[in-house]
Amino acid sequence: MSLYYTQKLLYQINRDPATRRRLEEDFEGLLAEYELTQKERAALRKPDIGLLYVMGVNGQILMHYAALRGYEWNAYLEAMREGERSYGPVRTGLYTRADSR
Amino acid sequence: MSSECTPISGKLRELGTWSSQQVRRTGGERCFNGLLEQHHYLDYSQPVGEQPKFIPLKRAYEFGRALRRACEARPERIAVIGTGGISHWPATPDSGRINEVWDREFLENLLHNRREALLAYRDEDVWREGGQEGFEIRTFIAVAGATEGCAGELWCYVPIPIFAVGCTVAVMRLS
Amino acid sequence: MALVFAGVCSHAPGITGRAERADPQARDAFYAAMGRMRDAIEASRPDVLVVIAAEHFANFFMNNMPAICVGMAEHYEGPIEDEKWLGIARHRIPGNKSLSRELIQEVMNDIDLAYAEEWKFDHGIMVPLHFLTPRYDLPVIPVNVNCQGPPLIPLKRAYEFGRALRRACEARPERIAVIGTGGISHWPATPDSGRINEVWDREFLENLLHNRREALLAYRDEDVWREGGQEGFEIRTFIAVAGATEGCAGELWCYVPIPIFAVGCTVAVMRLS
Repeated sequence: MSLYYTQKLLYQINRDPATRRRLEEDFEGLLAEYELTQKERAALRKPDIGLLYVMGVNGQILMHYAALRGYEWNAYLEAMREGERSYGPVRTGLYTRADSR
Repeated sequence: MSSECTPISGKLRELGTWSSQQVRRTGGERCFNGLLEQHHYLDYSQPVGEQPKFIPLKRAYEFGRALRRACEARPERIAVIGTGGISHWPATPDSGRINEVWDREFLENLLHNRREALLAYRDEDVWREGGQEGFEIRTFIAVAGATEGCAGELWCYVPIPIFAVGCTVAVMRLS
Repeated sequence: MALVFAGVCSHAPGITGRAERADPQARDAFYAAMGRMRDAIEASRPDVLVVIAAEHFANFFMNNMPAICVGMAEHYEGPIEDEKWLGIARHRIPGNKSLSRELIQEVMNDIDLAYAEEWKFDHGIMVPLHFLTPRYDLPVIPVNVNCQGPPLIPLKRAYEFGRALRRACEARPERIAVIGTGGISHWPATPDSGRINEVWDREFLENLLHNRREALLAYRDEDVWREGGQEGFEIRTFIAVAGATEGCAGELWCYVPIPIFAVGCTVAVMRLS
């Protein structure tokens, strides 16, 4: 269920100004409230947009987190491509590629 | 906000000038809410409030049928229970009130799986006879849908006021 | 007075958020078609605009994902996204709670629905409103069809929802306009963003605008995913409009692929008979 909570946290960040404030002021405390693996925490912290994408985070959720963390549109697309190069194809969910399914 | 509710009698003209005024969605909304608080759950003739009513009973029954079909298509062994009250008024000053006659009639219909009779319950009647939580019959009716054509057995029905419900256990004979 | 307008359009966030990066000619042709749709909606003198949209995890998450949800609030707010990112300023949008309630109650006889008394619009609704009701003065009733978190409703249920909505509208004295918003093929929020399957899109639009029920309901999710991308599932919103206008044909006012908008930008209107 860890991917679920990774996405849940991003969903809350995207929609809730109070959660965004916590991201700025107490990111570790915020992360601690969700059932996440060390890898997921690290990817969220960095942020490693490419890894989050490959882990299977839904793009409609990840897109806004990338923007929030300062990724301009093309940089965001490039981060996902870099993720695929470094970590391989998307592992689960709707965003797996047809040829890797 | 409370309002004066003392009955008056006499001729209409003796009332003098009177006026009517919309209060809903105006600054006078509190007046409406006050009346609602005073009369809700007492002798109101039908459910009040802003919510849509609930899914029609036939949709609950159809959900049960669809669930049955989905179960039949699976290799797993699946047990299903419906849980809820029949008549009950929990979380109100009437908590503990139980309409045993109405409950037993509903159970008769359920345990003979009389589709027509089960789907003929109207929300207004359920609310009056079974309380605001009587709407939970939807869960039992879903089980009726899942066991269409099957009869059942009543293993227990005992009104326990402090539990605020006629405590029920019944089992359908799957055919 | 029932349904007075029905159409479909695109809603991709790039349409407003990355406007300056698009080919001006293509962009302006699409904007003009959206303007034409605005005029047509205004000419139909609606009391309310029902927007059948595919939300993107703005209000609903997988802890409680309704198959179909209808808004029932006095008013809404949007966009939920960053205003600069989307290129649309935050607004309060009027709703029509009592009409929502009546429509929900009626549709519930045939289709199981969730309802929401609180809803923050994302680009799926805000981008169309930005063009179609730029003063945000027309009351809106939002509808969300889950196209993001499988299991998704079968296409025939989306169509049946449209039919039920039409019946509910017919029973009302209000003048009701309805639009479906979504993409046909698109791969947004992926490294393939900008990929557009024009042939497949045009074929789908042919089926839609001739309201070929059988053909529309024959699309299989596997094929949609392969040909139309993971967001191609949004055809459910268009198919709901086909259901609401069963037996009616339509006209394509615009279809122009704009890669930076990540979608074949579409405006089409059904001729209500």
